[in-house]
Amino acid sequence: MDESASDEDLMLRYRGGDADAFALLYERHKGALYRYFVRQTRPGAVAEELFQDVWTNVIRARERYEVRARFSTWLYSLAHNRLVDHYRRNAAAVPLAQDDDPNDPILDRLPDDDIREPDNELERRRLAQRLLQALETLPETQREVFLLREESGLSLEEIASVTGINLEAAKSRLRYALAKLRRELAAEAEPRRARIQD
Amino acid sequence: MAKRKSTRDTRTDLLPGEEQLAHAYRDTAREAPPAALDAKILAQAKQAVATTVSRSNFSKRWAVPVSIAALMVLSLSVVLQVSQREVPDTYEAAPAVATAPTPQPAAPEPARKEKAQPPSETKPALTDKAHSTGSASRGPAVAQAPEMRAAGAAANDERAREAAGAPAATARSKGATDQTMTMKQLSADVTAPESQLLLNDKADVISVRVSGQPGGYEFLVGVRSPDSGCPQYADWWEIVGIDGALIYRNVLPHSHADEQPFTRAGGPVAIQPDTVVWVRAHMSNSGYGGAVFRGSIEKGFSRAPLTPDFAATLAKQPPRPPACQH
Repeated sequence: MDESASDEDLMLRYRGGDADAFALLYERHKGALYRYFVRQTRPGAVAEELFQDVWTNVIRARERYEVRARFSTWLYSLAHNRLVDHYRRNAAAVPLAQDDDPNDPILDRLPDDDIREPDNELERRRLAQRLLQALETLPETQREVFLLREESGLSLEEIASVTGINLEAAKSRLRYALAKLRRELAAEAEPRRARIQD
Repeated sequence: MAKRKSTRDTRTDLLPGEEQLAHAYRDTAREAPPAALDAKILAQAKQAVATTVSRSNFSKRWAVPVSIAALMVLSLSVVLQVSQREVPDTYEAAPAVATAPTPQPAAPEPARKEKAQPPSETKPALTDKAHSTGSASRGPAVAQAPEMRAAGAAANDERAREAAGAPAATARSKGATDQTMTMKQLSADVTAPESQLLLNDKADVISVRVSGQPGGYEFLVGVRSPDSGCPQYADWWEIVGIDGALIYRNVLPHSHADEQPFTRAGGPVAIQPDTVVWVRAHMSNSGYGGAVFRGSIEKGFSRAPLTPDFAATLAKQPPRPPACQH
């Protein structure tokens, strides 16, 4: 199997009956897609179920697959739709709606270098753990955009396409997500810095 | 641990302050699906394309003979249906299959409001996979046999429906009716009022669709269950041989209280086209006892009576669901 083959080529090969092509495609995307669901659903068994459903849809839709966009965009469109479906069926889920206020002062913090680079391994781990916790506190829509960005590597335009919003809305949600995460991490770092200065 | 491979090196639209967070995130988020899930999905993918190749070969060899046979059966069924309309009410259904385990008294049969479909519109269970998925994919080669059988049997359906709606309908005639159910009718069951489907607090199997090839079939099983959360939920569906041996079990790790009815795929199931099996579901609190399907790949699946204590000890066999999480 040509490991340099593009995702789209692999999917076309799978459409033609090449199961090895699917295996390579799966290997490339399984981790990111799995984490996309793990970060957005509880308990873990639900993430596994949604994850499997998406791949089942990929398998079933193979005969209709055509290269109209990046494979990632298609894959995460399936994932987004399955997630929304899950939210709608789950009474406890938060609705996928978020009012973004462009005048929110939190956005002013974005360019600041208020998060110190970790000095050592322990501090690095602590920062990472705090980041994951902060991610859980984000509104659904902002968290999803952040995950699409960091896990799937989609551009803002592709994220807008996957989630059915316009480019500006996608950009706004990501800016909010980044600003809130940075605020949380900065708040975490501040007391420790203060202790060191004492 | 090795660093994760970045998938975003080509992006040019980074926002201010994004790179530092992205680096921290990628450095720590490394969860991966369980190996068992990997294996399941890869087997499913492999099975799907093997089925396509098999179906393609079958189509080339059998397209013409099957078309001729189907035409003959359809013609015959129309004749039968016309003649059956003239039969008086003393009609008695054919006996149920002799190998069925001790049948329990027939469960109340749903009132069938749908008018009987003409034979030409009936669809076999095995070819109706796209019904739930919206997929354009078609069923496997083996689906041809039940289609012909279903068409031939459809002549009895209208009368069987009338019998099913009557209180005096016997278990014997019900068994015969179930044996001749077509997929069209099974799909209709899904949309019937819940009160007519649920057998008290049990989990009912309401549809069975199959694809694949001998030794590795994928089952798509529809379940309706009175899930309310961890204390009461359908925790698996399974395929059991007529000898009571567990052939395959699809474990459901959590309640589907907000998704009723639901359909879950499982497999590969290592049976042959003529292997007769039961398809049943299990409740976490009340065990077996809901509506069950019986049949084989080559003859199709239909609802059939089964005593709740049939192979009840299987409930203690692995695989069993993990601790319910919600």
